[in-house]
This record gives sequence, C-alpha cells and structure tokens, in this order.
Amino acid sequence: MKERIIKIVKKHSPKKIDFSKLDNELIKINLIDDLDYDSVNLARLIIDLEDEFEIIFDVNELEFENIINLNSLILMIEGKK
Amino acid sequence: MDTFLIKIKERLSNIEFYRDRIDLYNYFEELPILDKYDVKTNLSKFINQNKEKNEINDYTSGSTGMPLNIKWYKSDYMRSILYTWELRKKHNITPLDRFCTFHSYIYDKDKKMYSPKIFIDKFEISISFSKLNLSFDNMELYYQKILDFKPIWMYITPSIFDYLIYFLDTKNLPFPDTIKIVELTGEILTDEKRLFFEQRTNTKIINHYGSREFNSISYECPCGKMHIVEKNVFVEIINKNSEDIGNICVTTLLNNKMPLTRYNLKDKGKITSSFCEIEKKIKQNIDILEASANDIITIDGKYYDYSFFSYLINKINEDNRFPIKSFQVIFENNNICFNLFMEKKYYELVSQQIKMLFHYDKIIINLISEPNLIINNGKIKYVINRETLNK
Repeated sequence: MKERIIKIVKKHSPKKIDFSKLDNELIKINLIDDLDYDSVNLARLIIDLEDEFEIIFDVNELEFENIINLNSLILMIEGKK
Repeated sequence: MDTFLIKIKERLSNIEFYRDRIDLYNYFEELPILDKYDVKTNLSKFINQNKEKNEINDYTSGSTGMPLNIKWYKSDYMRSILYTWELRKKHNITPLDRFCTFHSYIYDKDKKMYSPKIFIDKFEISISFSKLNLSFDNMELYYQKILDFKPIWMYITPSIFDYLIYFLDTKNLPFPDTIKIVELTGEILTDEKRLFFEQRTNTKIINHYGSREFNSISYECPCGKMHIVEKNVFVEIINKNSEDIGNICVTTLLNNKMPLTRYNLKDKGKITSSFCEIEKKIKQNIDILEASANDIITIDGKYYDYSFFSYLINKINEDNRFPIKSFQVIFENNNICFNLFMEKKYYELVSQQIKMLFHYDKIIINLISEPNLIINNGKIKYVINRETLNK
C-alpha cells in the first residue's frame, strides 16, 4: 500500500524528489515543505487516493497537520481501509 | 451565548482590532461592519500575528482602486479551496480534468508578477491565456491552442466569455466541442446572458460567486440554486430594503490568519431558502442582484479589459499611498474618460501618471465627488464601452 500511495504522491508533486533515498526518512516528508504542494495538487492527490483505495475523504474532517505529513497520510489511509 | 459566536470570538481574540473590546459583544450583530477601506487602512490590526511556517499572500483585484492584501494560513486556504472542488464534483468536474482560463498576471516562484501570453501548468491540466492583449490575432492563436489542448471545462468571467463568443461569431468559428462546462465567476451573470451563452455554446453554465477575500461564497448546485458555501462563509444581508434586498456581508469561517468578519462586499443581493433535491435538505441561497460586470474597450486595434485598467490604477495607488478610492473608465467618441474618486490635491500627480502608463492622446480625467458607478440591470460597471453597447 505504501508504494501505491507514494506513487500517487509523487505524481502530483511539483518538486522532484528521489524517494528511494528517503525510504527510511519517510516520516519526515511533508507535502508542502518538501514537495511544494498547493491546494490544487492536494485536491488532485485526494481524488486519486479516493479512486485508488475506494475510500472517501471528508474535507471537513481532514486534519491538515496529518495529511500534510506523508507518514500520517499513509496511516490515515490504512485506517480507512 | 451561542456556539457560533463563541467560535467567532475565540478567533477574533487574536486580532488587535477586536482584542480590547471582544468581551463587550454579546450578539454577533453587535460586531462592527467593515468594508475594504476599513481593513486596507488598518491592515495589521486585522491580521493574526501568530506566524505559521506556511502562509499565503493574495491580493484582491482592486475593483475599487484599492487592492487588499489577503493573508491565509496555508492549511486554512487549502481547506477552503477543497470545498470549492467538492462543489465542482457535483457537476462531475474534478481537479484532474483539463480546463482553460484567462489571466491578467501570474506569480512566479519569486512572487514576481508576469503575464505570459499562454501558460500551461506543469501537469498540463490547465491552459491560461493573457487577458492583457485580446487582439483578434491573439484570439486566433488562443483558439487554436484550445483546440489542441482539448479542455473539458472553462473557468472565465462573463465579459471575457462574451468576447470569446463575439470573436468566434465574427470569424465564423465553432465553439470548441471538447468544452462541455463553463464556470462563470467574477462578475454578475444575468439570466438573459446565461441563456445566450447556453444556446450559443451548447455548454452547461455554472455560476460561481466568490471573492479573493473569502474564496467561494455561493456556488450553483445542479438543482439550479446558488447555495451559500456554508462550510466556508457565513453570509448576511445588511441595509435591507422592503424586499429584503441589501448589501452582501460576509464572515469567513476558515481564515484564522485574517478573519474578516461582517465584511461588506458592497454587492447587492437577497438570501432565499429552498429545498435542494440533490442534498435532500433546505439550503440557503444568494440571489445576486448587483455586482460588477465590465466591457472591453478597443483602441487602435488593441483590446483593454477591466484587468488592464485595474492594474493601472492599482499601480498608481501602490506608488502613491492610495490616492484613488474608486474609478470608472468610459470610452465614448474615441475619448477615454477616467472618472476618479480622490482628493483634488492628487489630480496633477495622478493625471501625469495615467498618461505616462497609458499612451493614448484622447484621455480625459475627471474628479468625481463620490463613487458614482453606472448600474444597469444589476451590473456595476467599472469599464464602459459606449461605442459597442449595441453590439
């Protein structure tokens, strides 16, 4: 699952990062600071994740502190499955 | 005290303008009504000084001659924009669908403004064309690019959309058949214009009422009503007449960095309620009855729209401590007339700067004693072309 999430996260990131080098530091990756996401990137990420994992995000309930951190994003999706 | 007021007061307690008197407000209606001038002239007093790592700086378009710096915490801003995407989803528009739009300026990575003729985003999902030069040569290029790009929806102001149709009709060109949906924003959309757009382009028209201060305020539901975006804003109508029509006054529910509260946008409208068949519940709607709409002016084969004049006035204002409080531009008998609401002492300075920035030999500059915008059929016009009113 982690690989599928990372693939989608990479797809919408304006900034190129070599994710393979960061495997052990996954927890530190931040969508805004490290990957330069803006709100449209985030909207695209959400819709792709919803399709990929057949889940629904409620924008009202999104904790941005969590979704902005890649590791928390992975945990959140795992929790929804 | 209700929970709504408690939440609002909690947010405002971090704002200097309210801090010392926050305990005095027992009802929401006791909070002062603000307008752009109040906020612009006391900007720092309306901003939460708690810094977050990621903040966003935006500017209103400056239709009154006063662009306002709007600040957001990035997470609040993202949430606000995500709500708009939720609403588009009801019309089967997703952020992955290709669209085209028009821009005045774009900010680069260093926050510098520039206006590329054509801008395609890195992901090749949006294509945007400069509004600053709408000559037919450029429009032909834009049209070809639209055909190549194959967008499925458009995000555009009614006046630019009207102009695009005028161009297509003049050149006897079909409307691009990949575009199925057109979201119109930034200006009032009359029923008459909407019908014309739908019939001429065979597209689904969606009306979107918003502002840079708040993002989306109301958005058309597939049920046909302009539902208030209640997760994003609280809307009141103030200064109501006997028909409950008055000024649209908005409070942000998301922006904690600059929580504009009871902010009078000066547009006119009415709040109604209706049962929404899509959401299966009673929803509040705004009928917008008076808001801005503008013409495009043609001079010596060049095309100037509202954003050009807004930029010109904003530039003079930024360089000279905001002398121009409001403006209107009228093109008639080949004269271009700037009606400016400002103090007389700035007349010479502002006249010189307009002539320096806008090279045309038939410029007339008038001082007006109060903002006196021509309102016709609910349209507040900042740019009027009397040469083409019968177009």
